[in-house]
Amino acid sequence: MLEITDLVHSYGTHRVLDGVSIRAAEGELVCVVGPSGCGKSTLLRSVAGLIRPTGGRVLIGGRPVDRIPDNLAVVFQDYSRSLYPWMTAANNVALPLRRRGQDRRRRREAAMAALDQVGLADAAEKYPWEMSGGMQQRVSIARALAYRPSLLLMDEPFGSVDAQTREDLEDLVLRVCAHHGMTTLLITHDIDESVYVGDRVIVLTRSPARVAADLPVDLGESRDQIATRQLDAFVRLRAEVGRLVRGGSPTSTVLEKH
Amino acid sequence: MNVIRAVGRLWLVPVTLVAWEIATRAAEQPFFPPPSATLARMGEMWLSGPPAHLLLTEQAMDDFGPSLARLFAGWTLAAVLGVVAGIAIGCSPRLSGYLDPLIHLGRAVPPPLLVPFFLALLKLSTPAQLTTIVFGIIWPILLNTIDGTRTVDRQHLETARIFGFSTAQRLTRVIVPAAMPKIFAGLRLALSLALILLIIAEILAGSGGLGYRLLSAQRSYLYPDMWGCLVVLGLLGYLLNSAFLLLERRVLAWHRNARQTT
Amino acid sequence: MEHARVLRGAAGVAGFLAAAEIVGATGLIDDRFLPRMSTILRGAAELLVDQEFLADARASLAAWGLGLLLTVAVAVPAGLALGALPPVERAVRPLIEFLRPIPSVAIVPLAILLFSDNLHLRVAVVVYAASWPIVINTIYALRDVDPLAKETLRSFGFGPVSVLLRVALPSAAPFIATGIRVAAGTAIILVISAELLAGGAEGVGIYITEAASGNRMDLMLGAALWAGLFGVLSNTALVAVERRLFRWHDVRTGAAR
Repeated sequence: MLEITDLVHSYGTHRVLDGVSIRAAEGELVCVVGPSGCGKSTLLRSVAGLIRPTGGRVLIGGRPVDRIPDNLAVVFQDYSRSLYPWMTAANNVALPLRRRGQDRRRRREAAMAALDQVGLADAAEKYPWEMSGGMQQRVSIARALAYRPSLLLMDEPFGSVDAQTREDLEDLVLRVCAHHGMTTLLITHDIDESVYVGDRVIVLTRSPARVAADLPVDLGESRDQIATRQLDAFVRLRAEVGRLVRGGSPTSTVLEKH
Repeated sequence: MNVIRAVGRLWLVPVTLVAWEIATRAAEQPFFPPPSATLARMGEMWLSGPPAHLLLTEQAMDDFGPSLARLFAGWTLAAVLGVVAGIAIGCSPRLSGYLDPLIHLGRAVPPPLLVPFFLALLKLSTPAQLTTIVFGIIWPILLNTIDGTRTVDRQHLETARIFGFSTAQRLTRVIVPAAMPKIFAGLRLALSLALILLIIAEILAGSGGLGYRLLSAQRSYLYPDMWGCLVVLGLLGYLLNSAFLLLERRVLAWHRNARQTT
Repeated sequence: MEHARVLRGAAGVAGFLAAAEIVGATGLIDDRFLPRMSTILRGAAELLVDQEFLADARASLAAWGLGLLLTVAVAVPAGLALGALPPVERAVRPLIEFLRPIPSVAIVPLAILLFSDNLHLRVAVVVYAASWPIVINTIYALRDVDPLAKETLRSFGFGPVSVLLRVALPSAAPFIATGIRVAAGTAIILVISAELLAGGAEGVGIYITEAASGNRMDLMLGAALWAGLFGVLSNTALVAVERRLFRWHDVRTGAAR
């Protein structure tokens, strides 16, 4: 579904991405984790077609990304700057659907259904500034869902909310991505989160970013905020990812399983 | 409760009026008629008409009608031109690069200086007055619109690109609403500026209107009339500004609230 | 970047001048009414050696400078007093709110009655009109001073006057400076307006009136061009002074943005 091959990007003489290759199969949720400032956002922006990378190739569904693909949605970290404060939640969700050629009534229905999925059916007529941060990020997710993309990109989607909300949103994303069978690339600096949410975790090295490891997550389909985090497999994997993020090399125990 | 608070806030106004009344009566200076005389004259001039016309006299119609018409016509024209041009220039860094020095020069030319020129060019007083107003007030509208359009949040624009908004959608749903607070600030500034230019245009290129009345009152030694014009102009300025603020608050409710929460 | 910006601006000006000249050359507009661009520019150049214009410009400049100085001398202390004494400010506020919307040029007829000397008249009108932005900016600036900074000083035993001088004044200064810059622009308009309305012997406004009666469009537009250039230069100079004096302020607000 998503094939990133040898992606290279430099800002002037400063190289941020140094040959990153990532693959994601249909319906897979891949987490990309790495130290702050390692070029994760640049990676996401290249995949989204917002910037043209210096080198390498990005294929979505076999088609190269040379401009912004029409089957892709992004959830940004900063919901307050991504939602339009002059529109209600429902209008924020419905607006992009014009591109799908739907009439006003269909757009409205789709928006309401998406808001319902994220548990905000009652807040459709509210403005973003009347909502908490967590609610705004739910609207942002609903907007992506209603758009029915084949690839969903999430850039630190839970980075600006409190811990409790964060757990709720993680479970929400797990649920809706599984439900829609959406291929998802989630970028985070949070090690726990990458292991908890991902089907696979890709660890990037410090800038310039390269892929340090590509780890499968064997935690099963259904996950629970408390039980899953107590599993031995979770604890081991988290420690491994943590070591890699800090610059360590892959240990044999994890690789053997591969 | 509200009344008490209003009295507490406004007490200096009656005190000043009474002091002014006493001082002007004592001084007996013709240039400074007592406020009571000014007020009486204002009533006589403008508010002694038939009830069917809301008490407005014919003179009130002659003074206010043309002035208000010019004010709004000039302001509306400048608003349309300034906002449209401002959005176009703001959307194109290249265009704004070419036009920047010309805009700054245009803004810096004192508009009254051009009244004789407009009058000589256009021959008729009303077109000359309108041109003066439009030329004088378009700059704050233009500059604020350019600024507002140029400083739309990058993520707002990227979101629009990601979801494939058409050019028209991007303009009407993202750029214009985002620039609206700055545009409104420019429009409000332009409104008070329009009143100033209206007066100077009516005095210099006069044929009726409040500015013309003001000057002719001064020239005919009708000092209470002159003061009446000053009072009414102050009231007009205050009302226009308040009305516009009210509109701004309604249209930009999202902006005020969004700012409070962040 | 800066280089490209200047180049582009210059190209824009050149393009405008050329376009205006070409339109003039086609004869679409009768050049007795709207002179050709080259004629206007020649007129503007002529003005530089025209003793009469130079004397008028000096006279307007003197009225502007004197008026602005006096405005600062009156408005800054008034703003500081009102900003430092909230009860007084609350009492005076309704008066300000009524006086400020009176369009400033409307008081010129009144000033004509009161001042027989034309310089005094122009200075008085400037002081009245240009004081508002400074007074208002000063009041707001003092109100916005970080209370923590004031309390810090107070906790070290400083009296209210030294708090005003050491904390309030420096942190309000950039806003006062902005008020003065706005006032400088207002003052130009008022000097010209007073000259146009009140007549008199000298001033750019007088020069324009005379050029109008002689139907010298080129000289009128030339004088307007110089007035505009003067406005741009004085504004640029004041911005530069502000930047130099208040570098710390730029850094602070820049970071907050």
